[in-house]
Amino acid sequence: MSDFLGREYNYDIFSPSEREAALLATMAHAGEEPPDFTLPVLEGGVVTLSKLRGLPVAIEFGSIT
Amino acid sequence: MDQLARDYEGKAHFLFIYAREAHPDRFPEWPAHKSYQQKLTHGRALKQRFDSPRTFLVDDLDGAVHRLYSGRPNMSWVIDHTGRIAFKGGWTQAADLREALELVLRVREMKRNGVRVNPYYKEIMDFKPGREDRETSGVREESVRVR
Repeated sequence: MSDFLGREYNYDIFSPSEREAALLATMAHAGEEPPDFTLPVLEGGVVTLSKLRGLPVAIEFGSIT
Repeated sequence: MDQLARDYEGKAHFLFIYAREAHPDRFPEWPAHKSYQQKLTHGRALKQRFDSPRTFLVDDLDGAVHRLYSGRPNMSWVIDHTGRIAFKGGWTQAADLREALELVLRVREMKRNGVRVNPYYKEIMDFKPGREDRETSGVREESVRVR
């Protein structure tokens, strides 16, 4: 996944489509527990999603471009 | 999204997970990552550019967590205070997340006050104008939904 695919959009799927909807449908659904993760914070330390319970968590995935 | 994070300071956690570059061909100065160090450096640049109040996390070079969460370029999720998914969207719209957060916080308050609420499931396919049409469509928000 880290490879540059050499296309205008560096993703196999970009625009909303039936294929995308099918992909999203395979993910965890509303009402279910999401996959847990631990990731490093830019400024140091780590965050584990499951340890943030008590307050809602808004998560965005993104990049510069 | 940064304004949303400021509006909900102390009421919710805001995580931004820096993933793979979506358009490295259009922006050669931001190429596809070749090393984790490069990914960290670019993640720092992004946070500094917007002076973002959100917590920036950097996925590994191969995007392991990004893959777990579908690998979509700009997906967003809201997890409620009990650790369950309240919202997921294939494209990030701050208004969608504001709506989801308001719902989560309102439901939590109602439950604390002893009000019985029953969950139900729904899905929606939302739409946004194409890049070329945003100027002429009169739709300021990227979503065409009337809020």
